Amino acid sequence: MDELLSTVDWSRAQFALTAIVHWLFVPLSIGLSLIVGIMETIYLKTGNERWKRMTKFWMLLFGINFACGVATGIILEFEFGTNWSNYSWFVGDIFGAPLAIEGILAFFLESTFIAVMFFGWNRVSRGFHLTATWLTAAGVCLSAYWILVANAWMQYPVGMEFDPAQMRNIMKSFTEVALSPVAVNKFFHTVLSGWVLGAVFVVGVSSWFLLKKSNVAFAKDSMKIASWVGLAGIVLTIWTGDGSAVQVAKVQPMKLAAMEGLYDGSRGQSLVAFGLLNPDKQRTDSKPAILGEISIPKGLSILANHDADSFVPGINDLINGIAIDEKGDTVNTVSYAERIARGRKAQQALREYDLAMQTGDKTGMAAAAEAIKADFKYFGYGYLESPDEAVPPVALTFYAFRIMVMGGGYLLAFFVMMLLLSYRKPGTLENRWVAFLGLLTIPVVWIVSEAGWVTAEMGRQPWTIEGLLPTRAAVSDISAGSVQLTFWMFVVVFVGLLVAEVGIMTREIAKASKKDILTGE
Amino acid sequence: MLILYYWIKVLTFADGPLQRPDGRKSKTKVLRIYRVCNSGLDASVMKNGENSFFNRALSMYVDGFKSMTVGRKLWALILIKLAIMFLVFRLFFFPDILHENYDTDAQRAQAVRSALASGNEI
Repeated sequence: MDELLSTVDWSRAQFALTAIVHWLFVPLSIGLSLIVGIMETIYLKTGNERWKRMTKFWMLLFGINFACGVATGIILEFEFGTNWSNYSWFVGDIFGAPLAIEGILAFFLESTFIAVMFFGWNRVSRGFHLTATWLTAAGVCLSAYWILVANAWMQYPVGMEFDPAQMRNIMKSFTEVALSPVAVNKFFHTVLSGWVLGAVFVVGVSSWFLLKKSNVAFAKDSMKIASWVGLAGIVLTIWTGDGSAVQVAKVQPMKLAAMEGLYDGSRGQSLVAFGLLNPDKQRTDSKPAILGEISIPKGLSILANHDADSFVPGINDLINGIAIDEKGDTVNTVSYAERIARGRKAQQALREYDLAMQTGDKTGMAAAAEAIKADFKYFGYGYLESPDEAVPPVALTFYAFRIMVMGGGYLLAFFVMMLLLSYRKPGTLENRWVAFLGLLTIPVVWIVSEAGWVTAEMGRQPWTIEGLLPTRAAVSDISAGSVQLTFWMFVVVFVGLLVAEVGIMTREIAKASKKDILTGE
Repeated sequence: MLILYYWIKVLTFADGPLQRPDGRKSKTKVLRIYRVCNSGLDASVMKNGENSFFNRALSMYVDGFKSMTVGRKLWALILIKLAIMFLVFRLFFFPDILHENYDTDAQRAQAVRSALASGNEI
């Protein structure tokens, strides 16, 4: 058991490391491709060569990021096959189909048009070049969409049926999987957050030029475009984030309870604005969960249900079987103890199916398959020893959520300030402190962006597939030592990759600061 | 560069001679493109008038790759990265456990069924 838990922990750590590193590159590609597209559109409209040079500079940084980030996601697929073989088999073509579409459609779209973007200046018409730029940006988003479809299915499994003979989930409705409301919301929330990250990057690099008193006009123009993109991005990200909270309240209420450190819910539930989690708090004791709490009255009820007086269940409520239904009404649902019992019943039926299969007993197989189907919704709960195992790590989820939300608030204020300064007092942008703020916001936006993913992924623990497969059942029968070894190898490679990216990028930015980007002299 | 070379070679020869705009097949053009590949990707060997979409696309790639500056470093980085991923990680450290240990899908399904049917003994 200890070896298994260790394998699970190292496999999770490795997956988290890979995903976090992959996510350093992806949102920058999403955001920069949009900003480059806007700048080139202005060039096409105005015919002014300075916009072409601006486009080319940011396109170069987009290219560096794209090259450094390309294929980092492939490692995740290696990990599925080696560390998560039970999971990989169990998900069947549901996971494979979106990833295959991503690979074939989006990747080829990107790689074809990215060549035109970089090599096509003066070789294809301006209109064709601009089309290629926008198609590259669309390709980046399309890639993200199919990956997010796969991720959303893990959070909210729909459109499939489990086949005990193949031991796989078979896709019954591609539309349900591809257009799952969770996938659609996740896509917009994620892509829009990419706009914000790209915009902060452009503002930050421009701030560096201003600190160096180089390419001042270029930096200010870039800041204007980026600040508009960033403002639009952050407003829409907050809006889709609100949609996401409503969805989480309905389909993953345990995640929402963990995000709030909420053990016992109530009607008109307040939202924790500031506070520290009480480290001594146990699920069943009466100690306060939050220390030094400052809360917004009825805030969580409004956030989760758009109804100030609605009931929001806490961790204990959910374990005891009290939740809200799709209309937002409080209902008695299946308690976690019963879920565990029903999950075990489904697993007993699977054992019976297996026995019947060995002896060729078709009637027995059919009966067992029916029994599995009846309780399959709770299949994964059968692996849990107690309801406590179904509670996500509250501290990490709680703090990651707050970093994301507070960071989002800061970024909104940041872009409003940058736009006001850009239009009202452009000279202030050259102020040392303002430029420093712009530069320092670069790491902030990455932390905020990663915190969003930590909230989403830690909040759904212990599940790889919600309710169906916990991490301990999804993992392969391999030694923890082998996973540990590759974990550290990845650390070395990823650090090298980041050093290379940051090195190449800073060298190009430094080189550009020694010439006039707008005239090329 | 090597990959591009073979890619061009496959494109130019696997599909047979290219069609000229007037519909006639021109082996000469194919040979010229082949020369482009063999002459160190020098697009200048293409003569005026050979302005088909294919030729223009080809010369865009050829000239683009030739005039790369930062791009060379990036391609080197991509190739090193892919080599580490596929020739080291994939080959030695990340076997597909089920495909390596079992020959058929039925056996793989059985292995997963046995693992998952053991319930909370996992």
